[in-house]
Amino acid sequence: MKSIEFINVKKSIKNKEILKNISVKLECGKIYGFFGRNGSGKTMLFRAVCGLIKPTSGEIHINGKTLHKDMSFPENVGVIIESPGFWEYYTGFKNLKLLASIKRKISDEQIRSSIERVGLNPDDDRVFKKYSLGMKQRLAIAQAIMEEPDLLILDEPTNALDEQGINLVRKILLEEKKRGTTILIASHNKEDIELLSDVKFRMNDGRLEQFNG
Amino acid sequence: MEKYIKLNYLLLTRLFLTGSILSIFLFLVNIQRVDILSDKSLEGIFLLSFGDLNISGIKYGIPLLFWLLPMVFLLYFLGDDMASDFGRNAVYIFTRTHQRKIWFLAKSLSLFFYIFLYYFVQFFVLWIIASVYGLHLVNSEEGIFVILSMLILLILQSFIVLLMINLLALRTTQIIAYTIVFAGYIASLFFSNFLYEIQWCIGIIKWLPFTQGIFSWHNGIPSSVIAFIVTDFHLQNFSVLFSIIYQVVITTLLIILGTHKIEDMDIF
Repeated sequence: MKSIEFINVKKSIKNKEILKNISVKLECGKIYGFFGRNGSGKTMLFRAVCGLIKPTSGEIHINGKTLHKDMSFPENVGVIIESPGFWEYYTGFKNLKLLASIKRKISDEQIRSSIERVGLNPDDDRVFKKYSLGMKQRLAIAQAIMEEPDLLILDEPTNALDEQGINLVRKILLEEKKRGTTILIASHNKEDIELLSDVKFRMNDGRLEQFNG
Repeated sequence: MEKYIKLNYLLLTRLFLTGSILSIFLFLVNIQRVDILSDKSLEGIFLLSFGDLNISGIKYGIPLLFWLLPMVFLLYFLGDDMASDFGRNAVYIFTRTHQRKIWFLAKSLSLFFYIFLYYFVQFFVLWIIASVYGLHLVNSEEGIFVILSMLILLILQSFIVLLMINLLALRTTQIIAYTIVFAGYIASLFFSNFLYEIQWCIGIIKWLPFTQGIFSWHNGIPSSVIAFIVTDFHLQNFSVLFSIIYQVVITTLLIILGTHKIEDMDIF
């Protein structure tokens, strides 16, 4: 991963401008924190960089390639956006195995190791539906990191986690950064942003501004 | 494509049980009429259970209610199959693969499989119960034609309805999708009744998408089951083959539309 560049990115839905002329260049191997109120546009920005929505105007370049022209989503990306959604009647391991089967890039052992890394038991025979909110969130994090992505996009990754869980996620993110992963993290929790981010941004009513506070 | 087909075994069990119970119910409702009308006709009970909607009785509601019963359960179980899977997993799936079209085709295929299983179970269970009761095919060749025709027409009809709902649900809310398609379905049946009552432009009925599944409105109905049809109403040049081709064309168009939509749509 070299860089992500937003060039005058705008997104309007039903005549309402959700992202307003966003231009920023993000270098690789850093943690970028995005802070802002509900509805400020953080999630929409993340969806845009994942290729899940098309900007109304402007371009997003990833490693020099233009999103939606040269590729439909960033190669090798790990994502959590909003509440974790999995197949309810499968176990955590089976869920991750199904997702991993799309790329066929990692082994069962690597899946198990990702699950253990977030503090869950890969042999737990409970189905996802029976998981607590915290366990669901941990599984979502395991899903995001299991294929060793170059880019991690995490929207509220510490939601529903207890203190121990939050500390574990922070530790994992720092380890991922050390591996060279570029991490975009959005949170209501200012402490997450303060502690983890190399560069901090505030989203306010669809506009992006860098801040140092 | 197989990696996107995740059959839900709980759903399969529910469809299996509901289909079986529904068959028992339809057998109990219709067996008396078969006993009165025929010499133990197996094809007769199939026609009464799955193939006849009394066009003159639609306005009274009850025949319509019985006609819609199997469909209502199917809508309950599968109406949001594609949309809910999309809403739940799209973020994880479409950041791993470019193959949105393949995903849609795989989901359509699994939807078709669920519908096939649901009706197959109903027909199979009814066949077993009716055979145990002592019913048999009065005319083997005609009987097989009648039963297979009804099975194919109902599967295709339900597939179209569910594809429409699921496609709409990808664009709007599920409740709006249900309402639009179900209202359209019922409206087209009432419209058919209206045309029948005023005896005007009846030929239009054969072009309505939601009348294609009603076997008894077709022409060329074998004589061995004519006695079971409540209102002697057949549309000219409305053959079973016509309806199969018509529904296959509509299904193909819906799938083409779906693959194009899903390729371009924003995932929220």
